[in-house]
Amino acid sequence: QRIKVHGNVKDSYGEPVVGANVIVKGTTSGTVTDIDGNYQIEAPKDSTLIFSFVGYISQSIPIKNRAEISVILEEDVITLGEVVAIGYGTVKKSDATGAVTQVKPDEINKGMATSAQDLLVGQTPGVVVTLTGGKPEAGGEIRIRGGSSLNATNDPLIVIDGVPVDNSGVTGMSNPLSMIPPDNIESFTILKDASATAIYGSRASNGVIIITTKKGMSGKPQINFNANMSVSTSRRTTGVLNADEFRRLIAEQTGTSSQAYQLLGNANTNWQDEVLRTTVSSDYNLSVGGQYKILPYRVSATFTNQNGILKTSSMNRTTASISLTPKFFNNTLSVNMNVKGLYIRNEFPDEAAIGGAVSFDPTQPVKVPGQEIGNGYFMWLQQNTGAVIGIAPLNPVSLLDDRSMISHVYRSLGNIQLDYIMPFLPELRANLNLGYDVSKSRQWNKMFPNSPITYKENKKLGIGQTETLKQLKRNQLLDFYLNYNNDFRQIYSKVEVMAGYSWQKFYKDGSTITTLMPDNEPWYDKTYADHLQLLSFFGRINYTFKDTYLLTFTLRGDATSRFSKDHRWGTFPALALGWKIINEPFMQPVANVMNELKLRLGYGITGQQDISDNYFPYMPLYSMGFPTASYPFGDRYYNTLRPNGYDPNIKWEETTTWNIGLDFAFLDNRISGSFDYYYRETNDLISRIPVPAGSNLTNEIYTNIGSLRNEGVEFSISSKPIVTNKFIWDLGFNIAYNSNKITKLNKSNDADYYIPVGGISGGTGNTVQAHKVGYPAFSYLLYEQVYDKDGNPIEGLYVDRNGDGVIDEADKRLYKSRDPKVVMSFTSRMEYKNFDFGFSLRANLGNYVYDNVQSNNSSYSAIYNSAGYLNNLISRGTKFQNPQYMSDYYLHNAGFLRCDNITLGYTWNELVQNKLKLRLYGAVQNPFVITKYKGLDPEVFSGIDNNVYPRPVTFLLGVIITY
Amino acid sequence: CLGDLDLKPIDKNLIQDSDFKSHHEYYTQFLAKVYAGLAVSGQEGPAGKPDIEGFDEGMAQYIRSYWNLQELPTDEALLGWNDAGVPELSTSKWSAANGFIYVMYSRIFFQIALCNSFLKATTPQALAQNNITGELAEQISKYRSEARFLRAFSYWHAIDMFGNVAFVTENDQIMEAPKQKSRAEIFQFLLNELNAIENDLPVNPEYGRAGKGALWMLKAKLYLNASVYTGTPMYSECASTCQQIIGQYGSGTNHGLAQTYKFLFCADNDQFARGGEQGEILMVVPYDRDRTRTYGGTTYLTIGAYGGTMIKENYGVNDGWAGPRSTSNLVKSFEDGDSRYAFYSDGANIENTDLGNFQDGFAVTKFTNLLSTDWENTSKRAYPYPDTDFPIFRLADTYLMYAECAYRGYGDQNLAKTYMNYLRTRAGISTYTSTTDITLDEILAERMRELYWEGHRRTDLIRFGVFTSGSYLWAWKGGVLTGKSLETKYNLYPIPAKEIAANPGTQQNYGY
Repeated sequence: QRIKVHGNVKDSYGEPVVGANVIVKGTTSGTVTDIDGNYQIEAPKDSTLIFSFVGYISQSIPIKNRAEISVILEEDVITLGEVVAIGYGTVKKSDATGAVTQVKPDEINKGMATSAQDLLVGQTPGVVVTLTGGKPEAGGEIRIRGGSSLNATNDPLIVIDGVPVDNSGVTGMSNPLSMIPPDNIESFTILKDASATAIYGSRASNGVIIITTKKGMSGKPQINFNANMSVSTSRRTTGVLNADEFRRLIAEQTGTSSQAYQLLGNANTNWQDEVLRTTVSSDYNLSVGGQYKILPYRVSATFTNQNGILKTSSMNRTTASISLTPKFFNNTLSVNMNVKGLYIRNEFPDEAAIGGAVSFDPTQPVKVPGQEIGNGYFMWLQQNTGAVIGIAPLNPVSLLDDRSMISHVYRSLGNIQLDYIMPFLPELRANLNLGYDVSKSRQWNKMFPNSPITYKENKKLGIGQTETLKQLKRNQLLDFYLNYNNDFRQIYSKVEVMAGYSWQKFYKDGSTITTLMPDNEPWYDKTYADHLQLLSFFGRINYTFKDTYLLTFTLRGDATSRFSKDHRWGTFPALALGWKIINEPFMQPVANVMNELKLRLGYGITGQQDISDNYFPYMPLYSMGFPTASYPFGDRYYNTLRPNGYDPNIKWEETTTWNIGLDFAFLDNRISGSFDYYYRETNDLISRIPVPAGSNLTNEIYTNIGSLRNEGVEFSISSKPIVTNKFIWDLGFNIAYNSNKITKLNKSNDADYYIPVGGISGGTGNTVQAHKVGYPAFSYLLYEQVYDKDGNPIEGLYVDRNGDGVIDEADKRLYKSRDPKVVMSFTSRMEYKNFDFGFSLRANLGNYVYDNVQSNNSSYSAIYNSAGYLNNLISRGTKFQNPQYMSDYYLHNAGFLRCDNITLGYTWNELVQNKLKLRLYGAVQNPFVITKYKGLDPEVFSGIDNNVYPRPVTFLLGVIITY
Repeated sequence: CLGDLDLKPIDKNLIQDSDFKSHHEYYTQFLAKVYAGLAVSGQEGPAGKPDIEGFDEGMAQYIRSYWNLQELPTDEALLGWNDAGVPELSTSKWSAANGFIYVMYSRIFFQIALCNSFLKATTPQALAQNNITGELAEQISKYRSEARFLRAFSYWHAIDMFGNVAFVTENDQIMEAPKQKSRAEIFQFLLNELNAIENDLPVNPEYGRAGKGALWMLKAKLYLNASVYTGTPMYSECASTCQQIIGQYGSGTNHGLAQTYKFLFCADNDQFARGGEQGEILMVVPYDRDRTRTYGGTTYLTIGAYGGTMIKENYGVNDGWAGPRSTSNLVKSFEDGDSRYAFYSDGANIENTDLGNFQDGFAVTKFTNLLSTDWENTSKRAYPYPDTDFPIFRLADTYLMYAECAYRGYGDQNLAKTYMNYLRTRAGISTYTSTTDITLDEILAERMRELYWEGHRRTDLIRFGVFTSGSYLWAWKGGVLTGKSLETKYNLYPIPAKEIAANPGTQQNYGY
């Protein structure tokens, strides 16, 4: 017997839930709630109704012959946690079909990171983050599954709260992610394969990182305060000859009556100690989150002061953010508004001081009493005239103390997202996102009058100068999409269709104004201005059959103003299939041990158009010359007009990716993990290649040529080997293997052709790496060193690889690459009662480094220059007479195991009537590295170890208070 | 919204074709770049927005890269730097991968492309489109002839150094790979071009621009080296062209020469490039310490060539790079009292024992940044960039070229003796008394004394057949201190490997 049942569905705040499903259990009949949350349905009087809505816990309520049944749906916190952002929408983790990883920073070492990159280090396989040395506000190079481009950018696209941000640098700010204090990050979602990234089409070839910031929660205000203080010091310095050893060497090599010997001083200076320091840094973060009436809010402010171990380097950052997430009209309109502001003051050191401190003569003092020139800093002067020797190296201390480079950057990033459930059709939502990212920078680079560097740069007359850099950047975004989501129970199908449009415009302008000190006399100005427009149409279909078979199809059409009318549109499709094997009937027998088993298969094409600073590479343009490069006709000087090179047919670079993956979890999710294999091929690479002579107005141009292949496997596993009420142990391990190979480079397919890359310090134009077909990008191209019977290298003797009796270019060997083959990471975290202890380890294998510090500072001929100056050598010298830059003696396997951090903490959970939670912790960052590499640090992104800002060891003490 | 994609540049330093309509001066500024392609390395001066990518900008400057290839493998200069590809130039061991060779090839063809681009933008149709008529159109058509001359000038360098090269004119499309043409074919093209534009170039051009003197000198150079370029000597055509030049420019008390040799290479040497009685410089690449700056050009030949114990301020600059220096052959070729002798020897060794040591060899002070008026002044004028112009063609060379033709049997040897004595008189040394004092070897030696470090040497040694032979040696020829013969393939530079890869079908030179 059937009866009519009606009622109302509300959430825990008493707001109606619009579009909730009401189903008669065991049948395909059902309905959805209307705009007021009301429903009406006909059902057998003894049947059961199921109320469900995305993000809420479903409820089954037997009718028991009642005519009115109203329910309150509770938010499903666990389900929400498993929802991952995938670009223009979210998906339940278990329904994701692409290679998608979510990282929640709260699960890691709380409070320790100062940049968002830190939080990603070692977190997921296939994502390699190389922090750029130890400088404050260090950015980091993020590579997802190796680079897919040779010349275009290899940085992933970063989307912050729905706003794709411009990866290219902001003047005065070295890290684009400084914007987001780590404490404010709710989650990262890393989209790795094309089936996941293709929704971002044109900018997705290198993966996408979606950052979602924390939002206000319901309930009473929660106050969170973090503070930490840290001490950083250098882990090691480069071993160099001390003053006495150096004096002895000069005497041995040149004799005591030589000119070189006369140049020796009487001091005993450790230049590295003079430029490095031990510093204290601090970081504070305060946030308040809660709900005021209908308005969930979260406000936060941070202040970070970080001092670098190279003197004069520091970063002061203040950020503030507000997030408001109210809902209106019976929850049909969700508003998500975020505004973030940043002020940063950076003081940049002249990093030449690092290399300078290694090679500067240790017998000279830092300052010479009574010397007027160079403000008293020791300088190399001509013995006979006292004039400055222009080509001599500069006193490294003077580079830090007697010039200053300070920036001030204001930046704001914000968006307002409106999500509206259509009252007439609750399955349909419309979403509008308006966003902006604006930054304004000023930077002053000063060379003080009479400072040593003013005798070497520009006018070389001891005149000081101020360089004022200004920049304005603006990025505006409009996204709109419609989303239709329905359950067709009759046919066991769930369908989600999304279609949208995106408009994004980038603008920047800036200038460099150079004036002379102290009178501010103008010297020269440079200006620039550029803009770029991106337009896109995109769509996605998710189809689920019997909650077991999943299909995702996405299509994006992208246009850029960077290419000509004929080439500006690109189409980027992707298809992914998922099979939740765990839901198959045949898995029933193991259902009690196995929690998840899903197979994923993905294919997709993504694009790339981001080529550095060239905004109109297809257009014939002239560039106006400066007055300093003008030309006379008679006595009149003309600023010249140069036609620039261009490629009228330049178009999208396309990357095709295949991915197969398996996700698994068993024993109550105590063990879970995933395995992925991918194959990625980039065609029509936008490469900068030599043009046929005379065919263009330059010798090298960006054009579409060449192919590149990346192939790899990734595996990650996490487990909780012990879970008791007193002791919890979490373990995580991941490993990724990537192999990269260039498959085409030029039109003629000339097998001998290569592109030299990897410039080194020493001579001009010397390079040690090359791109060549059949080899990984950035392979090393060097001569094979010949050794004597004792294993010492014989100077200038190399293997004649082609046996023609002559050692020339043709004998160089292309060998090994800078990129690691295997990257692993291991984390462990234990909680015993109120104590917690964790550490993380990371290893790179198969990465090679060219030791440029050694090749440039170890030959005897370098110690004395006839212009009248000396250079120190490093202790691990080679005993070569002349520099032998092209010897593979300097190429080393730089595989390493690094401990990123060790943390120990204690938490009081129940202070002040159970309202206050307090955690105290101590940590060591970068305590040790195990490697065979003899240079300072084996982790060198470029593969050329030269003047890297040393990564410090940092000891940290912090407190987290939650109220 | 799709219209939003049609963005145009907003950078005020970027000019579009359509802007020429309202800015007629752009045509002159464009021609100025065609000339400046020889003088500076990019649009910012001394460095920035380079013309040639992927190489040290200063090293990729036209005069500097030309000078390196014309001087470093010869008996006039050595360079001991560790820069990639440099030692191979001094030791004659270069390969097709050598960066300096690539940069020269790129520079030459950038220059040719620049000329072609100018010619494309100034066809009568193109001018009509921008509403340019009358006097201005007339003036621009003269500009075209100058562009054609400069194109011919660079093609001459191309065939001289590389033999058979890519051939591209204003009739080719952008990004279209040009075909290679033989040295002889291009040689003929150049003669035709020069004849076609001869009437458009003035006898006395404005300072900084090319006139008939430059054109005739280029023609004479082509004829002089015709047997190398085509196998057919054309010495008599060379001799008559030289006579034409001397007839036009060789009059006056100094026979058209500057009175004082060293003033030809100092800060105010522009006075000799402005015509007149001492207008010896027939084609010039001008420099100015404020307005035309580069790390190539004469910066390289002054600051670049100073080092050791030299006091740079005595030569008008305030820096020294300890770069190129002399060979002992060069220093020893001068007799006492020759005013052209310009070396600094304090603390230096005349022999070139250690290639890497600047002081193994004398520094060359031929090029300075002093004003002729304050030569011996103690008050120092010291700048980071020189005002010194680089003389491409000098009338002194014309006299020597005539003499060479005469002694090859195509001219009057008495007249040749007279001409050579003009130079020796100016140098303050004994004159030849009889025509038998002079031989071809003597002319080659006199060419070194008169023209050293002006970028002529490699071409001269090849014409005289001694660039690769074992009959004439100098330090580090062939990679050994005492010198040794080279394979004859070194008479040409290889087509750069990058060009071979970029332009399928390009034939490499024999032996590389």
